[in-house]
Amino acid sequence: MASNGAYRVTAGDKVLEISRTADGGYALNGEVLDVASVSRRGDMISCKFGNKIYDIYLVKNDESSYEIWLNHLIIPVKIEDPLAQLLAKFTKRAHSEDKFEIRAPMPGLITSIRVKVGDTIKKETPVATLEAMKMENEIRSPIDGTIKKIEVEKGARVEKGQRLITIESK
Amino acid sequence: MKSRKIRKLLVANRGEIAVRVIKSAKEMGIKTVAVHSDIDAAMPFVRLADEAYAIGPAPAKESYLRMDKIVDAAKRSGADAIHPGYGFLSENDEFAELLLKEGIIFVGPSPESMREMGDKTAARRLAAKLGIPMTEGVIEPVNTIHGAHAIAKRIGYPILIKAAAGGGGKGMRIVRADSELESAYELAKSESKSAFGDDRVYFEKYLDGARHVEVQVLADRHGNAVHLGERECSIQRRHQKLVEESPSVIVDETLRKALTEAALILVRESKYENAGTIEFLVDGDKNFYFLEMNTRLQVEHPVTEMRTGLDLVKEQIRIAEGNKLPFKQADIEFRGAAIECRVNAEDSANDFFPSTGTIAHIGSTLGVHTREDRGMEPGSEVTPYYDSLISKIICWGKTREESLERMSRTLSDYVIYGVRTNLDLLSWIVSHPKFRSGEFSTKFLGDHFTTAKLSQPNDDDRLLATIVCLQEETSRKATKTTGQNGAPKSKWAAMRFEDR
Repeated sequence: MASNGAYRVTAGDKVLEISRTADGGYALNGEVLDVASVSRRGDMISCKFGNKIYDIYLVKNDESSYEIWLNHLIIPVKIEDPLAQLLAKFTKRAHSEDKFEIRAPMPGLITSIRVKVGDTIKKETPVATLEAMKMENEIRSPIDGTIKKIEVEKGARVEKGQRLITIESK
Repeated sequence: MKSRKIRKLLVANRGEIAVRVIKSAKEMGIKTVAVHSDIDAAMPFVRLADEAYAIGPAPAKESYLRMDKIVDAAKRSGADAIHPGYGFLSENDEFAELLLKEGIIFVGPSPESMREMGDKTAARRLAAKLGIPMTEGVIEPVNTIHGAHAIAKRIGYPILIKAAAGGGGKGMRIVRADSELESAYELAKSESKSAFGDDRVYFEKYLDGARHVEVQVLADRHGNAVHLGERECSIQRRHQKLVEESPSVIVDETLRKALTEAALILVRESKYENAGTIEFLVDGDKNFYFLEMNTRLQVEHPVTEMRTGLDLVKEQIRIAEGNKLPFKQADIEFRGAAIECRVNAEDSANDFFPSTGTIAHIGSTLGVHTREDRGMEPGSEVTPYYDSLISKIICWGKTREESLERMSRTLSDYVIYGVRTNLDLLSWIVSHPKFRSGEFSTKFLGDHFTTAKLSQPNDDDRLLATIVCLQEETSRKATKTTGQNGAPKSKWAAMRFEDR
């Protein structure tokens, strides 16, 4: 995760830094937040926060961007995922003239390779899945191009910074 | 003049008012027929009716305003009467005339009295003849910009331009200076033309800070007429009512007597029949001025029903059957106070701009002595084709204070998700000290409301929103891994295994 392992979230007009706790909960400034889901029907979620239960309607706008309807409020929420940020940083670093090298942003297990050598792909096409920190992370191509080289297999354990896939730009 | 029992009623309307009319008809043992546009096929009013007929595409001009298709549906279904609701064809004398010719009962006034009282300039002529006070203005439509300038000069600014055929704030413009006159005049004419197919407009003096008070009447064809008290409808935006209540805090017994007498004189003189509403402006010195008559059922009629215990639609139907009013003025009892709020699909933060979308959730929280008239349910689409009214909430109380407390509580607990509404604005209005104390006018929103008055999220709201989104985000990414590792221990367990 990022330096402090926290998510940066913009909710309404404020930015919050939320960290995960060991048991899958959330904390703000080290204080564990007492939030639990009670039930869910489609995008209607009942949540217990402290001792009160709220009905919430969740709208997903696009990647990491949501709208939460809470009573008479509509709160826009934008999540900056530390993992996603890291992935983006690593693929960027591998940039050379006409080649992109995708490297592992963190140690983990390759759970799938979604392309083969010679495939023509579009920017944002998922090329591999890396399991790390109990989460499946999709690794996406940063450019339009052709798969030049694949240096890992499904099931491989990889180290941080290890080269995975090389893509040649068109 | 013979009375004729209605056995099957076609409702030439949609949404909440269609639902409301169908309910009363059913309670009278009358079969009901809905007509609907294509996009309304799944609306609650269509299902509630005993029969339903599609009458065309979404635009009202091709469906709800098509007299031929509606008459055809009436004939096919064997309906012997049509209730027009409000809006659409409800104040169209040609439609009433056509039904007369076809031998179908129109639940409303005769074409003649519709022409006499529904046409704003004709109604002003009659009121002038009867000596009913009116704001300074013209009785005849203003046909040229040259004439407009001359009349503006005579009555002085601010002036109000209104559609002769109008209603619902359409074709209405306030002009405060000569420089605004020409564009306002042209806009009013074109708006009026597109809304009513009639571009005649007339001018009257605009009363700044006046209050809108109207009198509900019922009249039969045998010359009997009663008033059902007043409603105050000063809280408006874009010249459209948002909050209505009865009684009005500024109407004392003397003023009430004067208003209701003026209303009944107009009703008798125009030989008006069925339900109608006479609208007045009341200034700070309690002078009143006749505005216009609505020759139909009003959106805000439930306020009167809550106070009098009457069902206005049933009375309308009985009158249309040719019956005598079953009560006299002295039999009408007025109890307590009632208030109505119109829940609209609109964005209070964005100049009340209409909003559209699919209603995902409606959480009604009605308590005692509270009524909701609603024509939509979860899954219903709010489209740009029709008006933005989703629901009307009406609360009764022994006193005004109690009715307002009840409304305030109902609104604050009421949620609609999926479509932006004015629920938060209504909540703010009903709890505003000036509204509570009764010191308000038609300028209330202009004087007191800014978007900064709307609710803002507090720290807890933001935290809750954040965590719900984080959980959504991570559970989408982590489905596989949690599966491998067995059941997760977190409090979000329930959520993770729900289907998306």
